[in-house]
Amino acid sequence: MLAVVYQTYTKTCTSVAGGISRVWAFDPYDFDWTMTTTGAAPVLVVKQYTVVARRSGATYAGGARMFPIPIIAEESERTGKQTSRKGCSTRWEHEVTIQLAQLTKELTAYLTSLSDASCCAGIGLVIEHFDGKVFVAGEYSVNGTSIPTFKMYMDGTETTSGKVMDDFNGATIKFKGAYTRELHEYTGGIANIITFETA
Amino acid sequence: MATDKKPLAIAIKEQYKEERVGYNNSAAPLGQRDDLHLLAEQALLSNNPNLLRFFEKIPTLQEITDYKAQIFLDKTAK
Repeated sequence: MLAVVYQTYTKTCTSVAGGISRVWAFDPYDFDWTMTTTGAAPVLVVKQYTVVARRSGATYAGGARMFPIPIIAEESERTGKQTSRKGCSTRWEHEVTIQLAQLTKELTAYLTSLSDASCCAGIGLVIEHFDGKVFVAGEYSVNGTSIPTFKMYMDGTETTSGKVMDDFNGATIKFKGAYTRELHEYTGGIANIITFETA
Repeated sequence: MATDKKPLAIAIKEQYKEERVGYNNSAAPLGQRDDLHLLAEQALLSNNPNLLRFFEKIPTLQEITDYKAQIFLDKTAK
């Protein structure tokens, strides 16, 4: 109280599941995320994205959509690593790792497109966990305004043909980005993300 | 006891009737939504110009609160 107002964190007593279920990529400049804030200290102040909409000028025909990535099941994860300089300046290193099967000309083209996107606006990612929680990384626009730059880009990707027949053949893709906080959860419903794939 | 539900003064601009916005577990075109009051609420609370631009007519937050109360009362009356 005298120096800081702490907040209460409670965990609902349910089991959880780890791992990533699905991942979508998007052009960060195409979508705007609406943030709502609930609670006031000492009750936990929670921020979440509740609405996602195309930004003015972005159209489905022009390519403003959510692009599902055909990841190999149970081989993906995302991590966040926080560091702080003497307790004040905070940095979060975010990393998302996925696997795509089979080295092909299409995969080469896809990796090249990810490289190109990494150099430009970065890569927006929607990440659905197996427990149903959905998180957003690399977003550009929140509540109609651009936020301080949060750029996710491809870095550390490896490809392998494998040696024996049942070895992995494909690419382990890594997306990395640094920001000032953990990822925000999107609670508007995963059906919306799926709708933006084709409409 | 069911209340006389007053219609909410809310309308989407003609050019945005086919626009899709993801909220409340749906991304159906705005012209087909029956929960625009929820989008209006989010737009007003966040003051998000990217959402406010869709509305021809938008109620106040108080009108939306009263409307949601009416819906709740109607549901519990059945």
